Amino acid sequence: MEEFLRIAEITIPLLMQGLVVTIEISVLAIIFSIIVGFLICCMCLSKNKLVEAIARVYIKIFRCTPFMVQVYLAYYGLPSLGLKVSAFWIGVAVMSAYNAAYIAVIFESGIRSIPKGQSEAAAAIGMGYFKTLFRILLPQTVGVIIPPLTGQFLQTVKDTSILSIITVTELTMMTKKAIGVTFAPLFVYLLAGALYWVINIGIEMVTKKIEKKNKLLSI
Amino acid sequence: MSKSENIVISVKNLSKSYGELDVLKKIDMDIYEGQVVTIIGPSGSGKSTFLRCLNYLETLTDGEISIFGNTLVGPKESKQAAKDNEKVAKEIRKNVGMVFQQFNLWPHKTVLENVIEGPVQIKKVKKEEAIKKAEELLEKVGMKEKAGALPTQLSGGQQQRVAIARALAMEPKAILFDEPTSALDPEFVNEVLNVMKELAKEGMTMIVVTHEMGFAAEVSDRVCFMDGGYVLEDGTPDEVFKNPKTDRAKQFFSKILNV
Repeated sequence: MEEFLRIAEITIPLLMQGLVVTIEISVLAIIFSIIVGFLICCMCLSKNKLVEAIARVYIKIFRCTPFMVQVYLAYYGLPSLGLKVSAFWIGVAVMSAYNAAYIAVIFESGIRSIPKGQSEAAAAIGMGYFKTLFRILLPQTVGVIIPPLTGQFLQTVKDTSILSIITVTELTMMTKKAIGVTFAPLFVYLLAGALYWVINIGIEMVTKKIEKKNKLLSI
Repeated sequence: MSKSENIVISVKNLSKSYGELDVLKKIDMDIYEGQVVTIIGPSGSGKSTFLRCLNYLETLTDGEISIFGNTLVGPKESKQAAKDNEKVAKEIRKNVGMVFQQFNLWPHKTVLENVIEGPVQIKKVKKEEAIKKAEELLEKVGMKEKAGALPTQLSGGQQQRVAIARALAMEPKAILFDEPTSALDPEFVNEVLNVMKELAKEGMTMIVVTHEMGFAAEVSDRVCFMDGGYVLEDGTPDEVFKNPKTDRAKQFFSKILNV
């Protein structure tokens, strides 16, 4: 028991430190990826072929290369371009860019799933592109896109663990540190896993609530 | 044939193609203020496409459409002018309402919200004023009690009456009806036609694509029969139904009457 308490005493503060960083990166990456993903989605829906092509290439690059390779490329590539950015912000940037590609596709498929008549009815009263998007189409897509978006957010949280490879002191990095001190991998990994689980259950609860609120909207 | 001498919609040489498929072939038509024009014809004859070209839900391949002084131009006519079609369409849509076959009410908005959306968002009418006007319009189409309901809670006929109120809320000078009763259960057809008859009586300029021959005969000032992208017959209901000039129209009407 005494041994267990000693391990816990060392592990918990380290993991809490890592947990805070993981939550910070996750929240920032989710917010930025929603913004960038939405912009990429708008580009995909554009009538301008060049604008659409740029968005499609972006999606192809970020979806079809491993996240870890992107992280390494940014970590070693940005300084060689003369940009001095901390590992934390490189992590946030790469996570945002990577997830934005997936979120753009989720948004696009959501908007395309709305019957054409909905935007035609808006056009018929003289409504412009952005009003139609924000007032007519997007509110109707909420019910459709929340489940895949939730999946993407959960994946984002789990992927933060990869950022340990570029020295970001997030949860997995701190877990390894705690193991190095305590030599109790089973207990420390169990605890780390539980913490990731708690964050993701929290996200699921929030998105479920939003989904329920919008249940009436589904056609 | 006309109620007024004012031509409000003028279609010249209108053609529309989808790739190799020519859907509308050099159509000319003048529509006068207050006229009720029904467009009939077999499926695939180009009726709906013609109607949708009028408020630019379909682009023009060739020709010209002038509506209340705003002119849409096909790119073959003038590439430069065709670039401005989107802007022109916005002006046209302020004056011309549209009612769709599938109603196309916005399901995330209540009946009242559907009706006030246009006036508040597009015409910038104050919300209280828009609500007052919307309530009057809903009363007119017999839907005031359902103002707080969502479209999914309504029957097809009720949804279509709300869709008409939504179009009227923009105070249009003309309304386009694209097969407004085709998606309805037979028992709900009349409630929609009655609202349309009221509008016709009030002098609204209406262009109605329909399969309701009774409505066409009773209410319209003018009937156009379309087939294969051409307007084959154009005259009063009596002229078109009783003395069609073309064999195709005769054949079409004989089939309908025999069924």
